[in-house]
Order: sequence, then structure tokens, then C-alpha cells
Amino acid sequence: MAKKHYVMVVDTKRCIGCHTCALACKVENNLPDGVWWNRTLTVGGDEMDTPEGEYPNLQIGFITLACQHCENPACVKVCPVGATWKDEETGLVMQDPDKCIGCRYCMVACPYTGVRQFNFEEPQFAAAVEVGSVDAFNHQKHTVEKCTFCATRVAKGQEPACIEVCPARARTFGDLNDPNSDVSLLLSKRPYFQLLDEKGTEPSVYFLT
Amino acid sequence: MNEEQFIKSLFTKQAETITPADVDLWPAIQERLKQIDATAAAEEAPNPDLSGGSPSFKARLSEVIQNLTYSYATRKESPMDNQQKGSGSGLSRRTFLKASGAAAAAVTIAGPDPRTLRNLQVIDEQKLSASATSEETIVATFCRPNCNNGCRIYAHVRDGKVVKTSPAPFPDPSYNRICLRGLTHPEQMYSDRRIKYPMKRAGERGEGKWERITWGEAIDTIASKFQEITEQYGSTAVAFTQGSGNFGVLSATMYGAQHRFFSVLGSTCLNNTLDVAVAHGNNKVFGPGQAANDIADLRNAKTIFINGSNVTESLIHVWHFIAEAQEAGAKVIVIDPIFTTTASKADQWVRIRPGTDAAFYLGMMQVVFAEGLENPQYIHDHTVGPFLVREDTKKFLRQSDVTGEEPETTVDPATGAEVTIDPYVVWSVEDKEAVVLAEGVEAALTGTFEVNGIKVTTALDLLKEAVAEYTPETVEEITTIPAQTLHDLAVLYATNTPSTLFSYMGIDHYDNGHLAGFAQASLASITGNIGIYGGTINERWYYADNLDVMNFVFPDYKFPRDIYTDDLFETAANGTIKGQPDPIKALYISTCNPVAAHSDYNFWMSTVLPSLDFIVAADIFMTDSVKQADIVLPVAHWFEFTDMELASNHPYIVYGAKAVEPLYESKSDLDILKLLANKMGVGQYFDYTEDELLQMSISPALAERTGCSLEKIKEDGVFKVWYQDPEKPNIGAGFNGVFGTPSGRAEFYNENPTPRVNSTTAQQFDPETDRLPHFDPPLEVWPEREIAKKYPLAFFQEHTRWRVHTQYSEAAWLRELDPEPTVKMSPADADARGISTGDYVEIYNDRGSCVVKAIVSAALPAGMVSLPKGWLPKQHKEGTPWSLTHMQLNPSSINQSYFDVAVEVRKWNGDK
Amino acid sequence: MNSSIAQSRRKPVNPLWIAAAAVVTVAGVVAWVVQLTQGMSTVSLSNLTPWGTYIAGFIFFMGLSAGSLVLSSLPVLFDLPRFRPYAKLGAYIALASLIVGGLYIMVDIGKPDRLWRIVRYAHLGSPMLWDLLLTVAYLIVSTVYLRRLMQAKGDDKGLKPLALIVFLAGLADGLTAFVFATQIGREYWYSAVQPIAFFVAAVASAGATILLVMTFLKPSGYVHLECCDLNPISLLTASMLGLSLLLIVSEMVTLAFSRSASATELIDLMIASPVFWVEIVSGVAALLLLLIAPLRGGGTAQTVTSAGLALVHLAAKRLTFVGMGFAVENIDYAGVNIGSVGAAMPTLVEFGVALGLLGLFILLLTVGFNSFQLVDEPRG
Ligand SMILES: Nc1nc2c(c(=O)[nH]1)N[C@H]1C(S)=C(S)[C@@H](COP(=O)(O)OP(=O)(O)OC[C@H]3O[C@@H](n4cnc5c(=O)[nH]c(N)nc54)[C@H](O)[C@@H]3O)O[C@H]1N2
Ligand SMILES: Nc1nc2c(c(=O)[nH]1)N[C@H]1C(S)=C(S)[C@@H](COP(=O)(O)OP(=O)(O)OC[C@H]3O[C@@H](n4cnc5c(=O)[nH]c(N)nc54)[C@H](O)[C@@H]3O)O[C@H]1N2
Ligand code: SF4
Ligand code: SF4
Ligand code: SF4
Ligand code: SF4
Ligand code: SF4
Ligand SMILES: [Mo]
Repeated sequence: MAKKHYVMVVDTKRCIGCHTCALACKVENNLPDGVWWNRTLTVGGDEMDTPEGEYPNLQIGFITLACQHCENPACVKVCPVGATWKDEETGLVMQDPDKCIGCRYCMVACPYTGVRQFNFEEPQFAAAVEVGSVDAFNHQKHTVEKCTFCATRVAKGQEPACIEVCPARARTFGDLNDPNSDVSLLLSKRPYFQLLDEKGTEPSVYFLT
Repeated sequence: MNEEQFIKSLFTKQAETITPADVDLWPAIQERLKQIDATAAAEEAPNPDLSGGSPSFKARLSEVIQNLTYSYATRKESPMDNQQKGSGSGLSRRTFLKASGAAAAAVTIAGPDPRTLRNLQVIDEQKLSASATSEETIVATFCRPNCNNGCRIYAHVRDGKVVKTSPAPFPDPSYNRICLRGLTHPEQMYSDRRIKYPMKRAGERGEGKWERITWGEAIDTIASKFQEITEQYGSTAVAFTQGSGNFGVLSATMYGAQHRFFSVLGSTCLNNTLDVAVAHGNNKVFGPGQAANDIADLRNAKTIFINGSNVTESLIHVWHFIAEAQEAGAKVIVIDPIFTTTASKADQWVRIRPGTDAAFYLGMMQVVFAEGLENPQYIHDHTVGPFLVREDTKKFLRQSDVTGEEPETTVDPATGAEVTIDPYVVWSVEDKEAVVLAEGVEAALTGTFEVNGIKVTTALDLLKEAVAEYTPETVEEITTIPAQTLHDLAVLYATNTPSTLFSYMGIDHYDNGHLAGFAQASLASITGNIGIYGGTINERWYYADNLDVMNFVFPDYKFPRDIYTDDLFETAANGTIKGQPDPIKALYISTCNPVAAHSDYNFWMSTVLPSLDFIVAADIFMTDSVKQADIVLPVAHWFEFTDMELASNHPYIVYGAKAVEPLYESKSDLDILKLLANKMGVGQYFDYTEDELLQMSISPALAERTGCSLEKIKEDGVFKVWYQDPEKPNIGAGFNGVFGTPSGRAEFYNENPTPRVNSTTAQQFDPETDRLPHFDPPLEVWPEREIAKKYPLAFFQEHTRWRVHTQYSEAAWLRELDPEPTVKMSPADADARGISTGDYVEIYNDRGSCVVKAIVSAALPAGMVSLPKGWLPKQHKEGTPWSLTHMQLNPSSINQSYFDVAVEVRKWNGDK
Repeated sequence: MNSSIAQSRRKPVNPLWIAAAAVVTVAGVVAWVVQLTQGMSTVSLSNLTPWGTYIAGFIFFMGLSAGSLVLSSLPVLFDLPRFRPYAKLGAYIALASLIVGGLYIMVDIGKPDRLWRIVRYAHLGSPMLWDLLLTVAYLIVSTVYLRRLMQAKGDDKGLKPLALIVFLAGLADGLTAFVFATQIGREYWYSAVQPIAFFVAAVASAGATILLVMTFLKPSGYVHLECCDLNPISLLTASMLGLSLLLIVSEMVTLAFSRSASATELIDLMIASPVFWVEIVSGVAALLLLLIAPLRGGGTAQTVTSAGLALVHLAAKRLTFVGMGFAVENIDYAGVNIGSVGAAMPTLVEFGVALGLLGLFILLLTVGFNSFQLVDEPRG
């Protein structure tokens, strides 16, 4: 089987900063209170949903920020126990809560602010039921976790949870090694940027402009 | 056809198909209606609305139709000026956001945008069910608060519990949808915030002390209280709220099962006076009914004006249609005081002074006429433009005016009713004389004539005259929009067609909201941008046009008596409505949160609630309104019973099966009503299964036109409602140039202006002020108003993504993202008051005050603050924003003006 | 009487000191148990500041260990008789600080029960693993070296090869810096100067510690100090301190000239940080005191003050270093709050654990002094 390179493409022209993708991630992965693997950020003023600049030159935009599933992942390099690693078949950067010793070195190493999060306590859940997928992540106290690119969904041929819910249809997921995939088409048609690409991490999340 | 059949057929007709002939038949059935009313209304409480002659019957009828279409219909559009354009998509703050990988092969790849393709991909149900393990079942249901979106969603059930929600497919995948709120149900359903058991008040009202009781006791208490009050004061002394908490047929208080129940009892329906001003303005021109085309039709527009709608927050699922139109080359113009996310996405954003959109549209019309950009053919064929208006009576000239003879009458062979035949008269260009309007006559569009000694002028001339004063310069003074910008926008609207005016409640919630509707509808009419693909106004909102109202809501011609919030306030204060003794003694609050969601909290608390002997509240959660009740009923969550969707902005009826059993002792509204109906001796009206009731609710017109049946709906889970073409977006008012007005044409001149409904405030209505589009300044948020000197800030309450009104206000996941009440204000206003982001501030006026956290945002114009709405009073540090609003309704629109509220803000020292 | 003198010579530390150190250590263990059971939310870390006091402690003690090894190996290697009496002491301090430094990692990780995985699943690419290997190497080298020193009789010829290894091991402290300096995501750390800065600070901390220990032990007669015996160490410490301060200046200048938004922000944040000012002020004061000490004959109070200030400077330096790594977010757009940025005031639990380990260090030293003769008679 040909190797895949799963990537996510987010259209900043369409994204309205609604946080639906963040919520979908929260539910699908049964994320504990305070944990957000995927966040919607306002590219604008100092507060959420405020613009920068002065009238009439105002600007506001949004990006969503989760693990970038880097081709050259800084986190993987530093993990002393191999609790986070890159899956060669799919390009996904995986995370095993059973192996993690909680040293948080990966959080230190990852340049993408806050995409890795540590359970500082026994995970608490606002919902009284275990929500989300049956094979939702096993959240453990004192371990680090992050977006998995919905590895278990992808393995079943489904899109990640945050993709299918986007009201703006701003999110696309697929195999960049397949020239006919939606993501390849989009990236060939539209200008894009990657976050912190000067850091050499080669992120797998692309933002269309 | 007997009278009963006739009334029924009249009520069940689609608004669009009601013709002038039907209107002329009304007197014939007036007698019958009186009888109906006599039985429906209690003798002690004569219904003044219905006791009069033919005009009040018409009013009654148009009211019913209007209510049926509960026109969320009118939206506004908003332009802006090029120099002012904010390029929201350029993410400039950090260099790393610069486009780095612009593909070499840009543009040339053929084929559609894959995201548009996504709209064509049906969610793969097989894949989905494959993903469901043996322990997981997926139930198709729907999310149903009043956010307009009516999302069909899947409830994923494991171990008898809903563990997640996901979007369920529509036949047209561009309607597939879910939002952040719809994803929170698993947390909401199993949260401790739910009301678990029936309870009765154990302390003072509002004290929060409760005693758990059995369902038996609850039902007995309510039934005996209702009977007691009915015996003493008449059945209309028992009232129910028209709320919007659940748009399921079997739940909704508005045209749902609860309406049915209270119709049967002959109770009073407390009509909401909200979101109806712009619709009223539209209806003045287009006649009652749905003005708008399907939202999917936005893709057909070349120019889209968004006035007063923050689509990306409040109509989140409309946005992608606009984005697709824009990607296909449409120009999107946003007219809004605030630099919203929607504005940031537009080709042009134009800042406007709050409450002045009518002037903006009038100015657009002035430019259109001045530049000769109107559509004379359309005006001639489809508007009252060529009609001749009598200078003396202000009515349209008719044949009898010319001949001097009494109009002929004839008997409709179908109904046996008497019909007056008195055609409109126009000025023939060819014959230079007044002739009866007929096919082939070329009528003069302009001119003043004398006919039979009567001075007449064309309606078009009157319109031109009315808008003449609104030159771009004058409009600049009113709206602050630069004259040149207005001019260019008017040219764009009239020439880059088809054009859609997508306006919404940002223009509705002012005292003059109906005038904006009146003006925008007139603008659309003179340019022919109405009733065509890509040319319409507002958002289409499907409502009771899918419903067999007569059978389902008003069985056996049993109607509730309608009153309005101003009537309620009047009777609460002095026991009368429109001068007649007319007490309301019991209130059944359901799918509604009046205390926290309606105007003038203080009056509700100080006067309305104490005037009531008995308050029942049925809700899922303990809201501020529920807290005021004497009896509290626990309602099941939406996924705990079967229902069908009434209303949303997509053209589908959606069936939702019960996913799990009701928790605790909660019951669906329908099951509660069944218990009550049996106890009160009207059990026969509820002696049906859920499916029987749902089948009964499907309108015969719909069934006839589309072949709709419950079976079909259940088979596919959804059924597309269509009018003209099942494969295309539905077209609203003006399809084929036909309108639901008495003349069948677009009436930018009203010969018989009437208030929207006949409520207390409507008594002050002066028809002379309401014949032609014009601008009246807002009630409070206008620099020249006395009150604005003391309270210089316009108080706007945005409908943000974080809640739907008060629903979801305690959803834990959302509160992580949006933890506490805030107000946004401009840097200028903040500086002037020494306020910075993070400070607690007090918003106040003479009516009330509240304390929230300030966020300084450059998006706001000086002089306007924005408070995201929907927080519960108890969530504030002090006070509540809903105490700042007022119940002053405009006599024409009878609509609550939440945004026409003047306030001042100061730093709060309460924490000390 | 004689025997009591002999005893006081063998047991130079008042047992009360030992008891106090033991109490502090036990308190630290209690704090650690609290941290483990109630969760690391009891310390001042966050998702945006994942490392803090403990890692600063780790760097400090690893540096101390490395510096001590250098100071301990130098007289053996280069036959410096005036330093030679303190070779054993240096080795012992190195060993003690190594243990404590390792424990700082132990208390920092969330799942100490899984520490064995580092060995089992050793991922060689991780600088953390390099550091681990280094720690193990130090441990072996310093133990062997200390043993050999304890057994050594006569001249040091036979010790020289081992001393060379020890010296090189000490130099390798720069490796610890790689844990940080390899982090592209952390602008403040990501610099080739860090290994040098680490080494300089390491030697300075060892010098200051030895100064302090010697001055502390002097009254008991455990060491025999002539008036100017401490001068070389003072001067060495002073020069390292001077270098360290110079590096701060060069760092600031480089940052200022890079003029990137985040660099400017970093400078602003440093200038706003009290810890940074503690670092600067204590560093400059220590430097001045150390430089004038030899001229004025080096009174005890002066030595203690200057060495103490130097250690404060170095501790503050480590705190600043770790903190500044997280002071500026690479992506700082507004969004949901997932934790605070930058170092916060340490919590009680954190203080407890950190002090506990400091207590343990003192315990190890004091017990060592009382159990072994770690200072030789001066030769010749
Ligand atoms: N998430 C969410 N969605 C909702 C709702 C909700 O509560 N939450 N409520 C639903 C309901 S019932 C309604 S009525 C709608 C409301 O939907 P909208 O009307 O779209 O929402 P609003 O936030 O009231 O205001 C829309 C815009 O009007 C602008 N505005 C204010 N005053 C003026 C003015 O004078 N002129 C112009 N041109 N613009 C003005 C505001 O800046 C704002 O951007 O939303 C529906 N959708
Ligand atoms: N100040 C100010 N006030 C406003 C507005 C504003 O902009 N500013 N906007 C106005 C507008 S546009 C609107 S549309 C109104 C909306 O006003 P409402 O319709 O009164 O508001 P909701 O908060 O949606 O109240 C719905 C209630 O129904 C309950 N509910 C939900 N489902 C069910 C069910 O199945 N059965 C029962 N029995 N109850 C259920 C919910 O828990 C909730 O308490 O608010 C208006 N009020
Ligand atoms: S769901 Fe889509 S539109 Fe909403 S924040 Fe995420 S990417 Fe943006
Ligand atoms: S974004 Fe961070 S956590 Fe994700 S792969 Fe890249 S370096 Fe690792
Ligand atoms: S915290 Fe866990 S995943 Fe991260 S580096 Fe340490 S062991 Fe690896
Ligand atoms: S891919 Fe899955 S895990 Fe990652 S952000 Fe999306 S939903 Fe969350
Ligand atoms: S709240 Fe409205 S938009 Fe969100 S899922 Fe429910 S129905 Fe859809
Ligand atoms: Mo509304």
C-alpha cells in the first residue's frame, strides 16, 4: 500500500471562527474539562472576536490550531520513551497515553503554542456520560495529549470529526500523496500558508488565503 | 362548498395563492366567522378583534395568515464603501501568516472547488453505520431551538444514552448542518441542571423553594385552577405564551400541540411581538406571506446586500451559500454599524448609524430614480406604479369612480358568496384617458390627471415624490454613509442584477423597523429584484405553510383569543384591554422564557407576574421564568420523544424519532397535554398517537402539491417542501410577478394601511402616516432625542454563537469558551469613561442596570455598545440587561424594539 | 577532651543542622506526595508553561555537579597544591548535587512510576536521554573518582587519567544545555551560546558553593584555611560570574538587534521580571565583592555574602532561563484559555518540593562531612 500523507486544509476566507470544529473535537474525543485539542483563534485584536486596527482599517480573521502532524515533528524527537511517534504509513503523529511519563518535554519542543496539553489532575468531565467515539482517547492524569487527526476514524475510512461539522465548509482532509484528492486540488488552486513554517517542522495543516 | 369548507380552504391556502377575489369573498363569510368566534371566545370576554365588520375580519384573517407565516421573513442588507473596506481575510499580524506556498499552477486547474463538491457528497450512511459498533445505534432526529437552522442530526446512542450528535444528511447536502451548540446535547441532557420532577412552590414566588409532587397532583392542581379561573373570569383569563424554545409540531406553543390544546380551551394566546416589524413593512408591499426565496437561491444572486444581519454568528448555516456566491463572483456588501465577521468577509463594508436603514433604502431609491435605473416594464406590469391615486380619498381610482355607478356584484358559483367587481383604472397612454386596467393597455407611469372631476396621480409619481427628499447628501446626514458611497451602491444594486437584499433583525429591532421593510420592499419592486432567481429580500423561514392549521391548531373551529404583549401589560396594570375589563389570571409558560428573553424585565417582575393568580411553567431546565412559577413541570429533552420539525430556514420537513427514554420523571409536552386534556374533559382532541397527530398536521395544500405524507417523511426522514419546482430553490413573494396583495401587484403605495395587528398600541395608529415609504427616526437611539442626551449609547444585543436566546446559556462546554457576560464598546467610548478590557462595568438607564465585563473592541462605532444576548439574569454579577429594555411598541408594527434603547455605561465599583 | 576534639574534627556539623535538613527533606517528600495525589495543578505550571522551578533546580544542580567535577579534577590534573585539599570535597559535592539534580527530574515528571520506561523504551534521539546518559556517566565517574581520591596516598600521578575523564565529564555539562538549545520553538533558548553559558554558570556555582562550604566548615577546624587560601576560588568564581553577566548583556544586545517582534517582547518581559533583576543585581554585587575580597583579606562575612549572592544570581539565572523559554507564545492569538503564559509565583507545594530537595542536598553534604574526612591536610 502506498504511503499516505494525510493533511488538513483550512480555508481562512471561509472560516468564520465559530468553534464548531473545536466542539466536535471535544465531544468525539471525550476531552476532559479545560482540554481543547483544537482551538479557534482570532487573528485580530487582543480579545477573542475583536479586530485589530482602527476604523476604517479594521481586520479580523481566524485560524484553528491543533497538532500540525508535522513531517519533521519536534515533539517526536524529544520524547525520551517514544510515547509520541510518527506513523510512517499515514504521516500521523501518534500519542500513547499508556507510555507517556508526563515529562512534558514534547510540549516544550513543539513550537505550536498549546497544541499539546497536560492533564494536571485526574481528568474531570462536565458531561455525566462518556461522550464521543467508543474508541475515544484514554485520558490519564499527568500525561500529555493532543489531536490525533482522529486516527481511529481515519482508520475506518471516515473523516476526522472536526471536518464533517464545519458550517462554513472551510475544512478539508485527505491524502496529499494522491494528486486527485480534494486537498491536493485545493492546494494546487489556491495560495496558502503553513504556520511557523520557518521552524522547519513541515506542518501538515495548510491554510488557504 | 359550504361556509365551513370555504373558511377551511381559505385558511389552508398558501399565502401566495390568495387572490383579490378571495379577499372580496370575505364579507360573505363574515357571519359565519362571528359564530365561530362566539363559540370560541367566552361570553364574558367578547373578542373585540373579531366582533366588527368586514375590515376587522380581514384584519383577523390577515393576522392569522401573518402569524402562520410568522414572518421571520424580512431581512436587511448592508452596503459599505470601498475606502472603508476592511480586508478581513488578510491575516497580517505575524509574518508567518503570509502566504508562503502559493501554488505555481494557480487558477488553471479545471473543475469545481472540492468544497463545493462536498456539498454534493451525501454523508455516507453506510460508512457511518459501519463506524457504529454493535453497542452504538444512530437515531435520526433534529435540533430545534429558535436559531432558524433546524438541523437534522444523528443522535448516537450507547447503553441507552446519547453520547454524541453529528450532522444527518439532507437530500441536498448543501443543507447538511450542525453547530457548536448542537454538539453540546450529551452534556446538556445528562446534566444536573435538568428539572427532574413535578414540583410546587414551597416559598414565596421566585424564592426557589420547591416541594416535589406527583404528576397526579400537578395535573389535578392545574386543571382545577384553570377551571376555577375560567368559571370566575371566563376562559380567556387563562393564557399561554407563544414561545420559540422548540419548533417541533408536537411541542411548540406556536402552532404546535400546545396551541391546539389552548385553542380547544378557548384560552388567550399571548402573541410574541417580536421579529415582525420588517416583515410587516414587506407585507405592506408584497402582501402577507413569505417574501424570501430559499437560502440556496443566494447562489444565484450577483449582488447581495446584507443589512443588519451577522450571518456568521446568527445564521451560521446561511454563510456558506453566501461564500459560494462570492466565490462565483457575486458582490457582497455589508451594511452594519459594527465591523462584524460577516463584514470582514464582504467585498465592501459600510458603517451605518443605528436605526437609519429606512433612510438608506430611500436614498437608494432616490438614486435609482435620478439615474433612471428603475425597471419601467416591471413597474408597469407588476406594481401599483401605474395605478391612479385619488387626491381626495387617497384610494386607488376604480371603475365605479369613473362611471359613477355602484360596482357590480356577482355570486361566486363555487361558494355562493357575493363578490364586488370594481376594477382598477389607469391612464392609457394611447387613448389619453382613464381606462380599466386590462391586458394590452399601456398605462401611464407618470402624471397627474383629472378623471371625472377627481384629481389623480400615478402611484409611481407619489413614490418618487416621497423619496425625492432623500438625496445622497440628506441620507449621509441621517446614516453617516458618504453620499458617493450610497450612490455607487444604488447603481450596483440596480445594475449588477439579480440582486438580493438579505436583511435581518439588526434593522427589525428598532421602533422604525417596519419602515426599513417598507422601503426595501419598494426598492426591490421598482427594480424588479423580487420573485426571481437571485432576486429577493430577507431569509426564507418555513413555518406554518406546511401545517394544516385549521385542522391541527384550531380543531372544530376552536380558536384561542389572541392578545399581544402590550395588551398583557395593560391588563396586568389595570385589568383592562383596550378599555374593556379583560383580566388574565393564569399563565402557562412553555417553550418560552419571557422573564429573561422579553422586553422590560422590571415590568414583568413588578406587575405582570404579581397580577397572575397562577403560573405554570413547563421546561427542561430551571430558567428564570420557571423560577417564578407555582407549578413546575419537567419536560423531556428533545431526543427523548418523537416529533417533526415545523420551521427552519431549509426547505425540508424533518422527522425525529425518539432516541432514548425520558429521564427522571420528565414527559414530553404532548404527554403533559394529554394528561391535562383528559383531566379537563377535552381528551378527545388528544386521543391520537404521535404519528396520527403528525399526519393531521400536514397541510392538504402541501400534500396535494408535492405528494407529501407522513409515510413519505418517515421513509426518508425528510421531505422537501417545494412550490414551483422540486429541483430548484423555492421562490417567495412575487413569483411570476404575482403578489398576495389585494391588487395582486407590489403595493409600494398602500390605499388602506392597517396596523400589523389590532392590539392596544394599534389604537394610536394613523393611516395617513403609513401610505408611502418614509423615514422616522428611532425612538431613543437618535442624537436629537432628549433621552439620548442623558444616555448617549445605543444598546445593541447581538445574537452570538454562544447561545440561542437563553438556551444553552448554561451548557458547560460553551461556558469554557465563553465564560461570562460581556459588553463590547468602542475605544473612544471606553477611553472617555476610563474603562479598559476586563473591567466590570455597569450599563444603566432610567429603567434598570446590569453589571458585565467590558471588552474594548475597535469593531464598535462610538455611541454603540453590544451585549451578547441570552445570559440568564442569575448569571450576572448584578442586575440584568433585560431590565434596560422597554415595551414601547410602534402602533404600526406592534413589535418589541430591543435595540432602540438608550443607555450609559460606567465603571462598576461594586466589588470594592 | 582530646577525644572530643577529635570528634569535633570528624563531625564538624552540629547535628541540629542535620536534623533541620532532614525535616525539610521530609517536608519535601510530603509535598511531593501531595503533588502526586492531588495532581500537578498544585504547582505553578500550565500548558503554556510546562516547565518551571523543578527544571531550574535540575539545571542548577547538574551545573553544580559539573562545575564541582571540574574544580575537583583541576588540581589533580595540573598539580595545583593550593586547590588539592579540596579535590575530594568537590567530588563529593558533585555526587550529592547529581543525586539531587536527578531527583528534580523525578519530581517534575507526572508519572515517576513509569520512569523505568526511559530505560526500557530509550529513545536515543531525545536530548533528555543524552542527559540521562550523562547523569549516569557522572554518577559512575564521580563515584569512582571519589573512591580513588579517598584511597589516594602519595602523589597524584596514577589519578591523572581518571582526573582527565572527570574534567571532560565536567566540561560536558554543556550537553545539558542541548536539552534546551535544540528547541526551535523556544526563541530564548535556541542559541549556540547556551552550552558556553551553561558551563560558565556551572563552574561559578561550584566555586561559590565551595567557598560557602569551606567558610562554613572553617570554625570546626575541619578545614585549615590560611588567609588567602580562598582567593583563587574567589577569583575563578568571579571571572565566571563576570563572563556570565557579559553573556547576558550580549544576549540582550543580540535580541535587541534581531528586532523581531517576539525578541522585543522578550526583552520587555525580561526587563519587567523581578527575577531577572534579582539575577542582575545579585550577580553584579557578588562580582564586586568577590573582586575586592582578595584585596581586603577576605573576611568570613564577606565571603559568605559574596558566595551567597553568587548562588542567588545563579539560581535566579536558571529560573529566568527556564521562564523566558515560555514567556513569548509563538502563536498568541486570542482564544480559549488553556493556561497562563510565563512563569508564575511558585506554589506552596512547589516550594516544599524544591526546598525539600535543597534540604536533601544539605543533608547529604552535612552527613558526608560528619562521616568522612573530605578535606585533606594541605601538603608540603
Ligand atoms: N446563535 C444564535 N443564532 C440565532 C439566534 C440566537 O439567539 N443565537 N437567534 C435567532 C433569532 S430568533 C433571530 S431574530 C436572529 C437574529 O439575527 P441577526 O439579525 O442576524 O442578529 P443580531 O445579532 O440581532 O444583529 C445583526 C446585525 O445587525 C447589526 N445592526 C444593529 N443595528 C443595526 C442597524 O440599525 N442597521 C443595520 N444595518 N445593522 C444593524 C448588528 O451590528 C449585527 O451585526 O438570529 C437567529 N439566530
Ligand atoms: N433584550 C433582548 N431581548 C430579546 C431579543 C434581543 O435581541 N434583545 N431577541 C428577541 C428575539 S429575536 C426572540 S426570537 C426571543 C426569543 O424568546 P424565547 O422564545 O422566549 O427564548 P428562549 O430563550 O429560546 O426560550 C425558550 C425556552 O424554552 C425551553 N424549551 C426548549 N425546548 C422545550 C420543550 O421542548 N418544551 C418546553 N416546554 N420548553 C422547552 C428552553 O429551555 C427555554 O427556557 O427573544 C427576544 N428577546
Ligand atoms: S468549524 Fe469551520 S468555520 Fe468554524 S471555526 Fe472551525 S474551521 Fe472555522
Ligand atoms: S505540531 Fe507539535 S505536537 Fe504536532 S507534530 Fe508538530 S511538533 Fe509535534
Ligand atoms: S510528556 Fe509523554 S509524550 Fe511528551 S515527551 Fe514526555 S513522555 Fe513523551
Ligand atoms: S482531527 Fe480529530 S483530534 Fe484532531 S482536531 Fe480534528 S477532531 Fe480533534
Ligand atoms: S443550535 Fe441551531 S444551528 Fe446549532 S445544531 Fe441546533 S438547530 Fe443547528
Ligand atoms: Mo428572533
